[in-house]
Amino acid sequence: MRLSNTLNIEKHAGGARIVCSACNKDFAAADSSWKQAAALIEQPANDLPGPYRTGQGLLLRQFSCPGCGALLDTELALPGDPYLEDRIFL
Amino acid sequence: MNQMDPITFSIIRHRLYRVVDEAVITLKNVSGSAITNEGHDLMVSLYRADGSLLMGGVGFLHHLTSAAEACKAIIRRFAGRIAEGDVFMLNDPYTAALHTSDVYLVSPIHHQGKLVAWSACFVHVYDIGATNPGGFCPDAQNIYTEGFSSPGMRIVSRGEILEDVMDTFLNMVRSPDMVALDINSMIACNNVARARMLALIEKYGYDTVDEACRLLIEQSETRLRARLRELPDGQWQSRQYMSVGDDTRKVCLTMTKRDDTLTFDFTGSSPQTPHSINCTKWASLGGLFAPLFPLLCYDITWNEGVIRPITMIAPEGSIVNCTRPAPVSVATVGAIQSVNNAACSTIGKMLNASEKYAQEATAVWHANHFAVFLFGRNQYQRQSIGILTETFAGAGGARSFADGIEVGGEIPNPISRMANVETVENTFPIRYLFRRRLADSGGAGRYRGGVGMELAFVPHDAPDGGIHYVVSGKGARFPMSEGLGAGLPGSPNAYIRIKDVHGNGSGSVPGSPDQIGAEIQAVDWGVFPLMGNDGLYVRWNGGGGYGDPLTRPIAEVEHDVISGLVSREAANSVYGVVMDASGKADAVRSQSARDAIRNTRRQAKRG
Repeated sequence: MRLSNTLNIEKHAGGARIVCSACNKDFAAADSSWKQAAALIEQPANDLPGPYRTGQGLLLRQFSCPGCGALLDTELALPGDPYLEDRIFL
Repeated sequence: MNQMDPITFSIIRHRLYRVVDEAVITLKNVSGSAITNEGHDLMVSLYRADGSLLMGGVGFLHHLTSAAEACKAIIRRFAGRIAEGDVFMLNDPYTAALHTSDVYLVSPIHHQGKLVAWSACFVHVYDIGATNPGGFCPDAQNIYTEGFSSPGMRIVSRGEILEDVMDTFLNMVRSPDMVALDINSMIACNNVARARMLALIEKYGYDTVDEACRLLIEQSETRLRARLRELPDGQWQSRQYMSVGDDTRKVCLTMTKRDDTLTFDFTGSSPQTPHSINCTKWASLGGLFAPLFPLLCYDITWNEGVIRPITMIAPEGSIVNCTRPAPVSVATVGAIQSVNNAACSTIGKMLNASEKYAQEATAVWHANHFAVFLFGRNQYQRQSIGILTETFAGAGGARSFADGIEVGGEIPNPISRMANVETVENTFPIRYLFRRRLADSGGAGRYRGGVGMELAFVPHDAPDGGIHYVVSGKGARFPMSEGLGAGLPGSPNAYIRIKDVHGNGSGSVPGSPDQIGAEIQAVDWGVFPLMGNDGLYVRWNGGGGYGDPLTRPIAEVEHDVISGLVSREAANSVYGVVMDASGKADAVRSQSARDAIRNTRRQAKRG
């Protein structure tokens, strides 16, 4: 089943797992944070090309698949703010 | 759908839509304010006798639920004293309104002496007597400095305007003739709604119309609950940042969907602030419903039935449920808009998690209004106050199947639009240097967010040498149009005062603010001059993107570059598309660039 356009949930005998929808790489149990297992690039939002003149310290977090390099999710955050967590109740 | 003939039901339902439509037309035609008849910062809706929403109209959808509360507040305050032909005014944010300048006029509709319905409407009045002209009040210290505010008062009694009450109100605002026209437009609007409702009742009979209205609400509730049951149970989060100077606040939302209910929980949001970006609980409720109506109920009548499955948790004393006397005049472009953005984001995520409804998912649209109000004596020697209606032009968020619409409006107002340049120049003594689409403002993605715009103008033919403007730019430091499903956010706004404009802006069209004048200064919050050789430059956000930018077909990126919507730099660094000297995309080098970006991602540290 679908968690988003980039992530699926696959049910196995051992429980449901979140996987990359592009390469099927396994990330985490469906009821836990998959972002901990993703590859994370944090860059100042100011570094984006074009009219992104943002406040100092604002970060663009890009969570990617360590297997295939697909971008899975993005979020803006000030340093120390927790990851945004999205989950499906099974 | 018990007992009622479905054809009669359908006819009555469509007649109710048309009642609202005709009332909106009346409002626009009578009002003399550009914010109303050009920008469509308005709303008209019909309510049941108990004040519950019957037929939500177009315009700013934040108001549908707040105006219901306004009707209920009037019912409570004037119990036993509501007569046929009365009109009541309410604009207190701590009672029901969003901010003081969005004035509600609510009119009871009686049939054979019995109260059977209400018509309610609002416009952002020309002025409300706040510290700053136009109603958005960055200088406000508290609600007491934000102008006239009423928790409910009668302004028309049995069809007769109460002149003493009206004069007292008009005595407290700037440009009272224009404000009077706003009030008259709303009275006319409600009169038309009442007349058409009564015609409907005359034709079909009160009992039939009343039953149709009851069934209409029941139908909406049944349909929304059914739709919610089709969507996955889960929890989705969003976070919005705002700042005034160095004071940064955030709106945090966790949306939980279980079975046929939705809960919007704003726990974790910042405490209320001394700045006027706060909003009250009624405003937050309206803010979350503004995207919910069009995104989840595009084929469901917007009424009380849609409200019943929804719960909101907004901690008291927070920026989304502030306590009196906190200032709220900038709320509609402050905390309310962030509530709206966060709700749009979480609803988009929920849809994106559904096999059936993924095609309905959208990233956040135009997430940051730029409330710039101009004021001063114009070329016709008249005092003029008004918003730059370009703020309503917006930018579409990318959808799961297509790019966002360039300068494509906004989710919470399906009829928003901007005035043309000539209209603005005819209203204020200014001359535009340019108004154009803004490259790289749309969030990158497989589907790109629609771009916003940029504009600049200088004083022109101003009897006082220029005018002044009020800026309530609370979000210039933070992109607010979130991306969806790996899409990147749209760009933030910017407000720049330009001094010593070269040649008074004549000659070739400049490319950037620093090409316009000798000195530039960011001006996000307060009142500033546009005098002598000053200029003002404003740019506004694009919509959020959808999906991984590296999966956007190279040919589409090439087209974006050729169209001036994406720069060569962004094409290369964000989309991994290399343009050659002739302006064409190099497919081989682009594939290498994309492979390199993916490798960099793979090798990044774990979250």
